[in-house]
Amino acid sequence: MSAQGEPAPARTGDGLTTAAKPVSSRFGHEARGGLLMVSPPFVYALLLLAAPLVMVVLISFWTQDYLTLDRTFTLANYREAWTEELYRLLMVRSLWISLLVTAATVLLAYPIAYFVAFHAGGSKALWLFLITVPFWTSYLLRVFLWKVILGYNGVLNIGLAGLGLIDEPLTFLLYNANAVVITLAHAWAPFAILPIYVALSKIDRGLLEAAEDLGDGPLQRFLRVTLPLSMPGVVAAALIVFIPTVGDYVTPRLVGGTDGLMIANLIQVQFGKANNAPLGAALAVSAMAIVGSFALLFMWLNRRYLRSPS
Amino acid sequence: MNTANGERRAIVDIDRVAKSFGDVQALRGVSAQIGEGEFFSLLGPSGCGKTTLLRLIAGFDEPDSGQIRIDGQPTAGVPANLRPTNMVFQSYAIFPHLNVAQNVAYGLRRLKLGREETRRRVDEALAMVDLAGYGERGSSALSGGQRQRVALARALVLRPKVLLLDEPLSALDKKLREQMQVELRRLQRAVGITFVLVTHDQDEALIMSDRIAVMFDGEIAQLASPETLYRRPVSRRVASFIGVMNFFDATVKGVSGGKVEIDIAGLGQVEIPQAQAPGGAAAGRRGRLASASARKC
Ligand SMILES: Nc1ncnc2c1ncn2[C@@H]1O[C@H](COP(=O)(O)OP(=O)(O)O)[C@@H](O)[C@H]1O
Ligand SMILES: [Mg+2]
Repeated sequence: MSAQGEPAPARTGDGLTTAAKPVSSRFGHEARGGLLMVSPPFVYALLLLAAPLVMVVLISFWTQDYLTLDRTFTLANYREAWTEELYRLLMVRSLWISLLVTAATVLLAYPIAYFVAFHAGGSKALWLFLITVPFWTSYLLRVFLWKVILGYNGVLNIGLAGLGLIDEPLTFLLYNANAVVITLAHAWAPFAILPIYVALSKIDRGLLEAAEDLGDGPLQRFLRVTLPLSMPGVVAAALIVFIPTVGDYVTPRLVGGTDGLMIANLIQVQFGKANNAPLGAALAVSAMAIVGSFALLFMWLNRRYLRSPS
Repeated sequence: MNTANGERRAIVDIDRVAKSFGDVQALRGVSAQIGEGEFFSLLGPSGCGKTTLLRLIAGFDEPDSGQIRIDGQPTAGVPANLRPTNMVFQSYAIFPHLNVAQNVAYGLRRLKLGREETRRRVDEALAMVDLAGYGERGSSALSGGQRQRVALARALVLRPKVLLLDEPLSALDKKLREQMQVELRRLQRAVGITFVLVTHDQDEALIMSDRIAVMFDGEIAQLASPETLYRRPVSRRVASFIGVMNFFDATVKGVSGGKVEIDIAGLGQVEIPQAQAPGGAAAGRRGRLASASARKC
């Protein structure tokens, strides 16, 4: 071992010797290829998602001046959005309806996901396929179908009357919040079933046998092992349903009547008939912030289930 | 501690048990009695039905025919959660959402012991498997050997009448495995619980067990102490599975006064004590003499 130390002979043929590489290339071949691949969707997302979002936020601080926008910074829109009784009512109602929809959807989706994951045997693929069948028709058509089912002279009322169970058609079915909840819960069911199914299928069957071996009956085993381990799927399902339904616009418009109107309907009016885009934008940003906080709170409450596979 | 098994009360009585999965006959009428406090091993090549038999004892499957009694009670129709057995799974099946102490306490909850007593028992069980102070560890922060110990503690803390172990050491590296073999044996003597160990490793079975059932193709080929298995295997198949042996073709010349005289082709005539000769050796019979050669142990 000489103190001088000859330079270590470059290892030949392993391609890892960095000295041979041009210093200018900051990214490896692979990284550059990857960047190239993601750049079109990235640009797309930037233009169609980030840019409009930035615009909405900007506009929310401006003022409508007939056909033009006054670009002086103001918080007036937010003040109005957060103090006006009607807006607050619609926001609270939207959250409430969404929570009901989320609860109903997840509760109804869980048994289906459970069945497919544990009892469908070899026909899992068929079941998953059947679950997606409703997507073959457009959402609008499905909402109209619910109108046909729930309406004054609808399938349900005629059926119940035919059975002699009711004398007069039930009116609480359509054009109110119930109708919105029913329609949305049905529409979003597949989105809730799939993540729960995935979480359930990932559970090691050995753990279920271990729970049984350690003395658990079927119910305790479900509560102590199956449910906690499927919680990541439940949380995902809840968020997937909750976040978009708060801002749903078509469903309350078609089946909600006046009692079922939601915040998105109001926002639409501001951008349209009311010609007050800045107020609409402030309402939209506020709704987004509230939904975001709810989602974060929900995830925080479930944090112990969401830690990476422990 | 090779107690003659006649002295032990049978804690598990397996009576002509058969089990098929579709066309596969996993067990073809297996009978065995496992003594109380015994370290009993099921040894055989992969696919011979060891796990199937263990799962029938645990209650995860029901036999097609035959019956299993545990502590004198018939087990037919009794689900796994109500049987006085506990299992150490091959995969250990440690609950990932619970920490070490919660894993060990899992089965204690049903006993409603109260906080203090539960804690005391958990600590005791963890100390027993050399994991004292690991209670608060997340189960992901455990090595393979530690997971194995948690699985062991989780089962032992319930003080089952029978502890079932399905290849508990096969996932460990050689050094740890050898260490755990000694430790498991020590633990079994300390707690006095009946252990039923499934393994495909002859050395492991020979080192640890009071008695071994050697299984092939869903049947028990020989059930005996390690010593007997080693010295007097009943068939060439058992002999060659048990260890490195030399086989000699031989003809029995005569039996007299506790000695058997045999003629080994190429080696000439040899006298061996009858106790070491295969059962049923009689004049004129041809057979094979299996002799244990130098084996590492
Ligand atoms: N659940 C099952 N379904 C179908 N075949 C099975 C099942 N369990 C075991 N077998 C078959 O039964 C035979 C014995 O299996 P097993 O008891 O697991 O063997 P071992 O544990 O000795 O390796 C094997 O041929 C195996 O393929
Ligand atoms: Mg096995």
